[in-house]
Amino acid sequence: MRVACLLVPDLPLAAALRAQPELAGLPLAITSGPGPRAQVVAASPEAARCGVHLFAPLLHARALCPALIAQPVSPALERTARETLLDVARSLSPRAAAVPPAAGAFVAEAAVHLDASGVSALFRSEAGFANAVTTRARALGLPGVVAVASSRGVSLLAARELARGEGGVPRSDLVRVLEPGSEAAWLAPLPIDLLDADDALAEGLGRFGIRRIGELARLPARALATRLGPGALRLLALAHAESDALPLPAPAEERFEEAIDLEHGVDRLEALAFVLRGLLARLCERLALRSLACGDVDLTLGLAGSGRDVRRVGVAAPTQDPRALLGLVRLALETRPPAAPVEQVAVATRGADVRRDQLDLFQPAGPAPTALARLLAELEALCGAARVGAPRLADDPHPDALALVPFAPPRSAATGSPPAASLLADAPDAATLALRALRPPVRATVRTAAGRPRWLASAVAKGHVLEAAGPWRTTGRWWSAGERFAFDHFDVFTDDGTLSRLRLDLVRRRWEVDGIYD
Amino acid sequence: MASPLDRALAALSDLGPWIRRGEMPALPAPRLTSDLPALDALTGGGLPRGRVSELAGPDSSGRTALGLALLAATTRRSALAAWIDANDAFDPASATAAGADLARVLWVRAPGPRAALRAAERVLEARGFPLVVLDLPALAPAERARPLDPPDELARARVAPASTSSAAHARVATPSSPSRAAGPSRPPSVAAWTRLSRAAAGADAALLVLAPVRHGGVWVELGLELAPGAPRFTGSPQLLEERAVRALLARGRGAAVPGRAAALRLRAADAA
Repeated sequence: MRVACLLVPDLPLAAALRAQPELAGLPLAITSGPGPRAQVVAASPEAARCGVHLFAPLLHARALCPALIAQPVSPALERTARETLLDVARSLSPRAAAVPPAAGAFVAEAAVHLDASGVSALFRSEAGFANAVTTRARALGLPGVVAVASSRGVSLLAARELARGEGGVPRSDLVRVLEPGSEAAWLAPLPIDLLDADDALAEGLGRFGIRRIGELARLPARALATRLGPGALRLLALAHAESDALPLPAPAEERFEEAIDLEHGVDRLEALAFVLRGLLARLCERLALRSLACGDVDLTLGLAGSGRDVRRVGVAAPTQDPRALLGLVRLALETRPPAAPVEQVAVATRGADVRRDQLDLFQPAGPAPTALARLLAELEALCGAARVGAPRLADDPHPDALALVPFAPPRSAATGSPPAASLLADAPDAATLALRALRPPVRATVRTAAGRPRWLASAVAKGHVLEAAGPWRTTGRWWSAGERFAFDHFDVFTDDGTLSRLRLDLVRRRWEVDGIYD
Repeated sequence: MASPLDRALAALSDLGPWIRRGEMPALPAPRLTSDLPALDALTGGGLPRGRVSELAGPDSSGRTALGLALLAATTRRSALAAWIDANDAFDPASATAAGADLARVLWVRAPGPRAALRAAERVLEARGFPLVVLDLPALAPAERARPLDPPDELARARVAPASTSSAAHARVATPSSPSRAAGPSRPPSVAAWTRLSRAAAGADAALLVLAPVRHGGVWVELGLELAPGAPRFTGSPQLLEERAVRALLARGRGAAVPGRAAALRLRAADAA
């Protein structure tokens, strides 16, 4: 088995620059908190050149570098950056797993392992595969290094050594491939702190004078475990470049999330839309890596005062267009604004397949699937959720029942049949009379005689009833006191020239016009 | 020696009969038929594709029925159609009775006329919909919701006792006719018509506007005005059988000669 390790050495800094690429090239420091007593936990090279170092107090750092831009660490950004790393790995390998966060000197790193077995068939060489991984990670705002070895442990060590550079100076190359059988010899001269041992183990190894991994590898396992505990055996296995026993897992579920913590509460929609635009753009980038589109969006807003606003924004058709998604989310926020200023924003979705259609030589070409998905998303943003789709005959006896399903043109030939009227040879001028529904039905004032309407007044029809057909009774849901209905319908022609459908609501005891024949 | 202008003109005249100095033959637009021979004969073969057409008439004049007939004819040919509904009046049962394949119909329930115009423009720009029906509003929504008063005799019976209060007199009911305006509360602007006609031309789609009155002006290539006739109730018990409609071609080009009219019938779906 061959395993590659994609490692980003400074995740807090990389996550911040991924969210705000305009800060690249500027002296930037990530601090442990927002207050003046905060400490620097990550610094950009420009800040480091000014003398800003890790764990320095922010006040001291500002004194050294007046132009320093300080931002508090954002757990949401770091979490999404780790997930993005995993997405990059899964876009190139079917099996990938995140490396558990390290402690000590490597607490700021983030790494993922991906199965590199057999990649030479696709990428010509393992180095080509590693280059593809780094290129894709960099394209998503996460510059890192990749090392390929025969085990997860060794690939992680090699990536750490590559990221560290020589004498603290980063190397120019970003990939390293360790040939099988040469890993132990390659590890031997490396310093032992690369193993990321805990403090007690590191102190113990130091007392024994162990400074290099090769020196550790020559120690007997039983004696080492007796003196330093079972944790030392793990380090010994790493030093021996032993292979892993467990394979990398395949992905269990596909859920993609982008989140951000805001420095202060946002109570204006335009400012929130600016934040959402970036989140949705990054989300769509990650989905595109996996050739997926964005379906329904789960929007979670952390509100001031520890409140939360969780809502799902429906998407008519999966889309890879962040503008269309932004329109839908904005519409949802305009319809129901958050109850308090927003301090955290998270958008999540389960990836959906991009619809691909093969054109039919015998049917008219419809819109391209991607164009149709974007169109449907924009129409929903314009008109509202559940107002765009294909109509259906409602399987419901209530006359006001409405059925609208997602618009998905069938690939087979049309099933509609010619209207009965035009099938008649003697009716070349006949069309089918249609009803224009009134939603909601319009209240009417009706005077009756012998139970039949004789005079009608409403906003859509008024006058004496010249002709009337009916009644036809429709009832339903009699078992539910709140939902039962009963109507007597009439087709009426009034002297204002209107042909309408009038109904008497027997439950609510009122007259309504629910349609006009047009 | 011939001047450069003469030489250029001679070269142009050699390009064949398609190039004429000062005039260009208009190419006829392909048509979208309705499968109603009387209507297709009146319109010169159907709705012109890549152009804007109008069906105007008051309530119960048949514009919805003819719009659905065109929708059905389009979807029966396995093509897609869009119904931009600013009135939320589309009835799936009527569309099915007309023969439409509902799975090929995109129904957009726009919240108002402005959204409907924008939606129609977007659907045309997306291409792939040979027919786009834009059903513009007839009545201002606020007016539709207001209850109206009974006839004069009842109004006089309800007149309040003599009162010096002008407010009381102001509340005396007088029959107010339904304010079914002659047109929508706000007709589309010139800019909207321009964008729609360009979008229709670009998509090679037929845009059919349904409205109480015609107001497309020069942007419309084919305009029909519908006038309702008397309905016919027959049978025992009485049933609505059909309604006569007169369609006048108010605007047309080529084979669609303005001024011609045709009598059409709108038959109830379950009429024999």
